[in-house]
Amino acid sequence: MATQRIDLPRGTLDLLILRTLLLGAQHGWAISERVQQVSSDVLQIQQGSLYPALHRLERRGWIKATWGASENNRRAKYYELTRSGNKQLAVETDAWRKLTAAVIQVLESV
Amino acid sequence: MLNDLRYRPRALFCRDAVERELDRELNFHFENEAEKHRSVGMTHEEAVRRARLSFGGQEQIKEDCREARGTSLVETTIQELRKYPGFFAVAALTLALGIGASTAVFSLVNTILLKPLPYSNANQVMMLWRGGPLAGIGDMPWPERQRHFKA
Repeated sequence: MATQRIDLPRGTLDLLILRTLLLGAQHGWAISERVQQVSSDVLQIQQGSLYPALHRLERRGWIKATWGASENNRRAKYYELTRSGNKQLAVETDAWRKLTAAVIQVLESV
Repeated sequence: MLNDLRYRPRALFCRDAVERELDRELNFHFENEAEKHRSVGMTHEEAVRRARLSFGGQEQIKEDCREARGTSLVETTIQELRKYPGFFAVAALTLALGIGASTAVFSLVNTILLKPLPYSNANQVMMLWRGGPLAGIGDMPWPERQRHFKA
């Protein structure tokens, strides 16, 4: 519980959502749980930013939503990557790698 | 872009359906969150309280989702219109009267002052009248009645 949380830099949330959906269709709750687990509780996505982001990504056509039954047999809204979402993920991953590499370079320069 | 064109009309015209879906989606999240707390041994009340705490203001989330859908301005306008029809009626009436009155005045001014008279050499048309006790045009023996004037 006492793990330190880090606020997400702008634009990172979209990247995390797209990357998580690469593993298959998921509902909002599972996305936030998965990001939290994989990042060892460092990244926590608040609902207040998760759902607006999902709706925005859906509007852009990068993900699409369908209703299905959840693990506990309730109706849940599942999101999955579209083809343009896949491309967007590649673009954003690449941009992110370049950005972090450059920042590290600057931080570690003498 | 194309997706946007398909997405927005639904968000706008099937607003109630979209809102219901959003409600259900957020509820689903909320219940899962509470369930998670319960599964680690919290009492039902405590679990719900924790879930609510982490959820924050639901209305705010919904508003942000509406904004993300990109229809919030139009939606708000329609909502307001439903809530205060009188205000919108007065506004529409004011506009209608204003536009109507200016159109009327303009067509009058246009005919009387701006458009040239429908005669050839309209700038040579004169108006004659008599002064004195017999003022007015009436039936008049103009002294040189037969002659043509030219200005």
